[in-house]
Amino acid sequence: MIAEWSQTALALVPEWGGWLILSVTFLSCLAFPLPASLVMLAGGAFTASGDLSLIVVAGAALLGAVAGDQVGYALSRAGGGPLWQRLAARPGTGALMTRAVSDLARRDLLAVFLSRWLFSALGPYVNLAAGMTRLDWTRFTIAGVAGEAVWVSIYVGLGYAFAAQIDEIGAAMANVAGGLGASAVALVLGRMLWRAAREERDDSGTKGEDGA
Amino acid sequence: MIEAETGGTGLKLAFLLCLGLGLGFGAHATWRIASGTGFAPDPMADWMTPAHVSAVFGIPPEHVAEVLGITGALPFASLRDLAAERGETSDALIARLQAELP
Repeated sequence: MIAEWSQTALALVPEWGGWLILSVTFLSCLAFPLPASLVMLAGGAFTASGDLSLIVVAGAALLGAVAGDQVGYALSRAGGGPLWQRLAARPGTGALMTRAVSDLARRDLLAVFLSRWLFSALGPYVNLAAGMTRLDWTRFTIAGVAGEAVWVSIYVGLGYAFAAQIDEIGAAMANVAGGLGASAVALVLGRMLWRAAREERDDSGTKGEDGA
Repeated sequence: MIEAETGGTGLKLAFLLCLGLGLGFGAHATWRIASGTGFAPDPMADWMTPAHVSAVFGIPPEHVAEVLGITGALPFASLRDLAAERGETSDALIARLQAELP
């Protein structure tokens, strides 16, 4: 069963049309907890019933998402520098975070692209990290637009194809997106912990040799 | 050293939390698919539009229009808004449409 507040959001789609879809995807890319996936699924379903045009639904969703990514990136690029310097200077975790960010910079295109749709729960935070660490804007934009196009196509396409099962598809996709997002973060953190443990082992080995 | 260890403990806790969430969401999705509860048709709801109800529930558009007292093309408005315009509840409107289910 769709939550009451989500039903209210869906009931607003016929009233506001593309503007609502655009606003919801825009704000969700800035980490506002709004049912963007459900609204896109409903947009796809309304396309299937002939209420809305596919160009309006897909165009509004894509425009909102790309604009949200850009605003998140620009805000954190403008104001996140000092915060990042403070985080990076912290003993212990600072070094781990610096390394994680340099890993992100090495795979920037892939990280930004995949965090738009496959690990969509992480998208807004990748925008912030990208802006804060001054990832190249052109590469961020290319990967971001491509990833958002995939995200919008998946959800609007699913809404169109499964117009009678918006509720079930929405719940299933929320589980899949949440699971993939959490697993991706677990993978990154696990890698950081494993590296830190290996370095600690190497350090104590070196000290032991020096002592001998 | 103490700060580094505190950071390490925080990372370990975050790792375990994310691992647990990932496994939990994965198990829930698998259970839904395996138990066959997933992908059941949605019940009629007040966020739906007349054309959506017609397409999804197989009620001919002219029957939907007749039940809702609409002349001409089906409007792009939610059943919630249509009920409010008529001064009746969404539930009453949905009940009338459900009576038309084939």
